[in-house]
Amino acid sequence: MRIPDFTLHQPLTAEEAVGLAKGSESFDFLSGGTDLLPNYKWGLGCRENVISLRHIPELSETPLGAGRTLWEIEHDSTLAEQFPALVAAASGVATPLIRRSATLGGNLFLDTRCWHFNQTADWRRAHGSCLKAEADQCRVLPDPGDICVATYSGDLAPVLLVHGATAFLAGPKGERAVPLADLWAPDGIRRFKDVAGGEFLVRLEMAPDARDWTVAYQKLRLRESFDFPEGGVAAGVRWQDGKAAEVRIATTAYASVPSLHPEIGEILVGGSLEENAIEKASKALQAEVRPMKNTSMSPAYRKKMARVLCRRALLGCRQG
Amino acid sequence: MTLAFQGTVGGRHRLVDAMEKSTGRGMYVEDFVYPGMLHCRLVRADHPHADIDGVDFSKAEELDGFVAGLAPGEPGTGARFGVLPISEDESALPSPRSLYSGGIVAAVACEDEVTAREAAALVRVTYTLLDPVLRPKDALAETDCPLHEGTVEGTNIHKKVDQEFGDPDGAFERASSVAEGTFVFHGINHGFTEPIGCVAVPEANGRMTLVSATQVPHYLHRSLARVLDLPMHRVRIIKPLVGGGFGGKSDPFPHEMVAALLARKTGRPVKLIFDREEVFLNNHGRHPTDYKIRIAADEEGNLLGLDAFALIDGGAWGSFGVVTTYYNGVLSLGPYRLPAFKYSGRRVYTNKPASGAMRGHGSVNARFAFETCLDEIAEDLGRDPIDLRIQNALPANTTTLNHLRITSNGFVECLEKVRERSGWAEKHGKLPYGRGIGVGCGFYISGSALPIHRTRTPQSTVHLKIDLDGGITIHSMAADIGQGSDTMLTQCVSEAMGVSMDRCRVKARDTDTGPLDLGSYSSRVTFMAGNAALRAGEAALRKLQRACSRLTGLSAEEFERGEGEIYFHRSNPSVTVSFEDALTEALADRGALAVKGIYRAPKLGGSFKGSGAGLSPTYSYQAFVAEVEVDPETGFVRAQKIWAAHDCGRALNLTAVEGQIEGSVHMGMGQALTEEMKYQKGQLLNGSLLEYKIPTPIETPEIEAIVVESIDPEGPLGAKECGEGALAPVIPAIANAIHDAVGVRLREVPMTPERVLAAIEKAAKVQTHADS
Repeated sequence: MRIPDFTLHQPLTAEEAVGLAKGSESFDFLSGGTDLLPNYKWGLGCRENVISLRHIPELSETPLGAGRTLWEIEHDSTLAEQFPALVAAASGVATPLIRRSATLGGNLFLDTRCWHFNQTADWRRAHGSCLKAEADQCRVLPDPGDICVATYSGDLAPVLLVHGATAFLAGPKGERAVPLADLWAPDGIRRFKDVAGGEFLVRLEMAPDARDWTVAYQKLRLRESFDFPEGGVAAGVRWQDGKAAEVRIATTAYASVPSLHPEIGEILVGGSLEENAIEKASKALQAEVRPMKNTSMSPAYRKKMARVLCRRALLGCRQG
Repeated sequence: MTLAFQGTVGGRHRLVDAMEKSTGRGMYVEDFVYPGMLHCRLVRADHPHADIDGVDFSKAEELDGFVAGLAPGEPGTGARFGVLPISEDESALPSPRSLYSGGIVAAVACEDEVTAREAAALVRVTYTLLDPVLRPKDALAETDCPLHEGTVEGTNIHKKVDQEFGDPDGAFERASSVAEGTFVFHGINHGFTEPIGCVAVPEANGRMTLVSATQVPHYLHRSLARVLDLPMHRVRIIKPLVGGGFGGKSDPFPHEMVAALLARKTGRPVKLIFDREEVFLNNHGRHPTDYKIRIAADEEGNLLGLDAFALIDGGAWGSFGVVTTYYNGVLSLGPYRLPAFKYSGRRVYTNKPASGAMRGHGSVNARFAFETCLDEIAEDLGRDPIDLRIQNALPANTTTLNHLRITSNGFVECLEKVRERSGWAEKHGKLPYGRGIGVGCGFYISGSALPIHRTRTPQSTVHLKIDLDGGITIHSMAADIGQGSDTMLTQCVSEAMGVSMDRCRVKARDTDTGPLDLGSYSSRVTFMAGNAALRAGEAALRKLQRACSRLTGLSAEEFERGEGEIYFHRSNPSVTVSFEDALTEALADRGALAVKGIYRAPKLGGSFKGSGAGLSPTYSYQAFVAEVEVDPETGFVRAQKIWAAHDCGRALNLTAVEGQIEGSVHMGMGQALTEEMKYQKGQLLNGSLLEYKIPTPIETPEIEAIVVESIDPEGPLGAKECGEGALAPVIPAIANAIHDAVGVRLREVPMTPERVLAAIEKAAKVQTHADS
């Protein structure tokens, strides 16, 4: 395997990075590179220019800077105290070596994955390529329209969604803030609602009340290292006087975007996470998710596990 | 008082190549660079079954740096070869048909690797598509167009074995307890660390040298000579350091022929290193198999008979498949006494990457089925599974129904040790729901007694050269693939001569200098090459004894090895001669000592058809206990601890033996729980180390390796194999532990969470139904 030739740019400021992107027709932003570069080796989405965000201090200056490595987040005692579920999710990504390079921004903006896409060029030629790569046909669904159903499998997104985080993006029009819940569009190729090509994540900020939430994250994967999640559920509860004043449920690896499921959280509001309410909410989540046949485990099993993950995440949010 | 030699066997020894490997100085095939070397890339088939109508290099030829292409039909590309002379059905390039998606169709050689990759992608191949045979059961049918010549009666059956001993029908009629089931095994790959690769170097004098990551330099030597149409002495094989094999580097392969043919065509060295996906496509891993089995026992729990049928998916080529077909039956005749046996095996060709030999070759799948059924019989008769196994254990010094000669046998000791260490009595059937403990056993050959080619040449020969520098050069072609065979040779020679291991250097990488050895397969190296090394060392010792005699005027045969590299006279222990003085005398007027030792297996076995299968000068025995935790809501199985007792005859190097046991447990766990080659319409879906799920250190339990030493009468210093037999017991031990934990029997591996959960849910449904 060889990485194809590209020109590496190493801007020192966000402005410089934005300028480089503006001046280039074909580029990728590079953060940790632990996902992007393996894809390049397989001839997936290779660009002529790669703009590294590694040397822009601004991206690592805040606790939730996009350039902070997952290893740094894993070992940040302040974050561990404030947002333990985020730290736990970060420490479960891939392997210790990968977490040394992989970043918060990279994990959040992780490209979608599919069995029919994440394959070598030889494989795609033999099998037939797909919408997300070189062809105009989806290999998962007979007629998905022009929507790609590749699976989003970032681990941090559901936890950040539950905490009500906001993304701060830098781009040609300057910096802007987008609530995380409004960021993604359900399409494995386009992925974002209105993120312009030249925009990148600078940092995240949690909602002002984020620390009032008790959050837990559960994920499904065959091996407890290396593997991307094949299902992930974050649950969050804002407790008030012993009752769940607000409940949020978010999923990853069940669709081409991470999602909040507000109506499922509603089921639990006002109670104190009684067993039957948890079961009801978990079953509702199982009914709601629609995993595709494009990862290692079967969609039926992943769907069934949504209930277990949801239940266990909610149990992790109980008081006392 | 002179101390007797304390020896260099037993205890713990660092592997002799550990430093060159861990410092990065050692040479693997990737490290070989030659002036003017070209880089080869392969063009692989897009379809599982097709005629190749044409290969068009014109676009590739336009690239700067393109040097040559190789297409079907060119000289040598259609020459047949294979590891077994009875099924030489492979060729460098399709001849005439391409037999699996991802098989090699053509090749290019370019000035650099990047250009070669680009060129390979530009080669256009035109195909006429043919119907593929993908399911083994379809391969049983008659066809107008079998995948190979010489199949059984116009089908795609490659090998058919039917064997019967004793009175199996009567056994099942008399039985008080019968356990039966059909067990399903998916294909798995060896997952060795170093990808396959080679460099072909055309020599100025017309010879061809091939540097290759191989376990079997000798079989490669034969096959390459055949393909190049050269006498063997015009071909030289270099086996550098090899980063793991496990059977996956034990065939001569098409890519080795392609590299050599391109080297001959261009007159330049040609290097070819596989990507990981290509390793999976080359495969030759464990055969996907459907295994139908019945076992009968009387009311006391004595085993009465076995009846088994194996449908074995061979993929595109024969490889070791004839042996596999026999082993799936005959290796079930140990480690238990069986008075009746009936077995049918059918290995079929299909349009998928070939299956072949993999650690525990031929025994692993059958063993899982057998040991699971044995557990069911114990349950049925209300017997403790370990007691039942001890009751039926083969004794030492006996002969099995199919004439396997049993000598040393530490099986019962293995069972007793794991029972004691695991706390079996307090745990089996007594742990809370979700936790369980299970036992699984094994039996494996310690070197195939029959050589693959009918020849009277010894199976192993070791030469020693000892000169004035006092160093001992060990020449051999036993193939160290990371298992430590160079260290084993060093230990055997230094032990025999009574000298320190530091004096020895092993030269076992070049067929020009190393005497013939059949290579690393069938767990033969320690037993066979070890014996040859020991005999070579003894021959050298005799020369030194005679030198001592000349120096002292005392009788030669009474000089014994003493501690501190001296020889002392048994009747006059104060008379000692140092190794250096003895050597100087031995060299006087004669020059460098040159001695050798050989090993040839004794004549064994019966005279019936297939009687050679499973014959070995001795066998290894295993008993493992696994403790697992099962999550009944998700089906996840976590092995908590494995107690692994293995009878290796004698541990020449405890560190190496324990390493082999631990490695086998890890690899067996992969087949048991997570590893599976998945296909869609004949195309491999998961040819990467991300999607082919080898267990990580997190999934790997604590392993307590328990070494049992039965001291084999014919093994080198009592040793026998420890590299393969220790794999098979892991899978049934885990499965039987799952049953103890949650009450379900798994008959398909890997036992993924999904399959375990399905079994639990099915059992719950049955229970609900029964309750209502």
